[in-house]
Amino acid sequence: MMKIALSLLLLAPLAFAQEQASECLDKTGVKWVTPFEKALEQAKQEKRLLMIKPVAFGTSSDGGW
Amino acid sequence: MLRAGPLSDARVMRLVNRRFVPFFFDLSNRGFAGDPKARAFVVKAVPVLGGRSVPTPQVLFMTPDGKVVAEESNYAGAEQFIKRLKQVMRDNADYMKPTEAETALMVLEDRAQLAIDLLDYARARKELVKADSPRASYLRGHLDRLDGKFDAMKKQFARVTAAELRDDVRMESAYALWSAGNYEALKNALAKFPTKSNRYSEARYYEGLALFHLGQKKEAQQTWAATIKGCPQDAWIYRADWAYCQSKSTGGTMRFSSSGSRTSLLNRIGYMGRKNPDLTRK
Repeated sequence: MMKIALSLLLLAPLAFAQEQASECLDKTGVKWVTPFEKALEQAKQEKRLLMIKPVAFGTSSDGGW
Repeated sequence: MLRAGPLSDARVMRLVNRRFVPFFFDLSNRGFAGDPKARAFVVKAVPVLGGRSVPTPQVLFMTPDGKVVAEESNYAGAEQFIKRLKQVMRDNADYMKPTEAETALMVLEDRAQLAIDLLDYARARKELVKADSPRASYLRGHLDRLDGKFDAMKKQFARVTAAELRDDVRMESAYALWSAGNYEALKNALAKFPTKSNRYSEARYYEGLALFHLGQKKEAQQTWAATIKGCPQDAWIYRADWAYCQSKSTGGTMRFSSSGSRTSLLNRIGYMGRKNPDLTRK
């Protein structure tokens, strides 16, 4: 139990950092919602459709595509 | 292609931000944008995207329970993308209801801006009938610009004296010159645009286009490159990057990589399938 709690604590800042960085890297003006869990939750809460772009030819190390 | 094309179009951005939850991810699960949960969600609905070699994925419009209600091509232009968005909105009215905050809007100019965002220009004009303010005149002029009625636009903008709208009026007015192909006047109209303006990178993009069409290709590229480096957070830099790459291209398919000599200024991996129409206009 302690191990799980510790793992979650360690992972939380990582997920937060990724989310923040993702917002900063958006240069299109579209307000991308990431990660997917958050986007899905928002779509459910607000009763909206998801507009999803799967990128097949890779994303650069800084999230560009 | 999408980010430099329809997803850098102000009409598309506003509409998407108002009525959809936009999300992108790396289908390979690798890299910064890899998201296994998103992949599982999408592959369940579109199994072909789960293979090793997949076709260029479309933009998917999906319900939160995983049903695909519409798709649009990765290579769509802005007008095609807007047409699709409108169709999706018509066919899925249950997902398009106004928010409480939108319903509570009382200021006529705010209601008009909402209607503009939703591409309902007739309603926006209706909201502005009784509005009498510099912002109302600006919005009427903006609507005239969107409709290509540049003489009417000028009359509205003549009434806008508010300092906070000065840059907006200047940029909107430049569209009349762009539309007429008056590139010398366009270059002059946008020169030394205030760097802290919300329209700065848009102005620089069009200044670069003016230079490009005047035959000053190198100066155009320098303008776009400087704008991209100076505006790390902006809608227009993808389009500037696209113009920069195309103007550097010596023909054939434009293919850029994220490293080496064929690197786009934004580390874009590819601008395949379509040329920037702003450079090829006649």
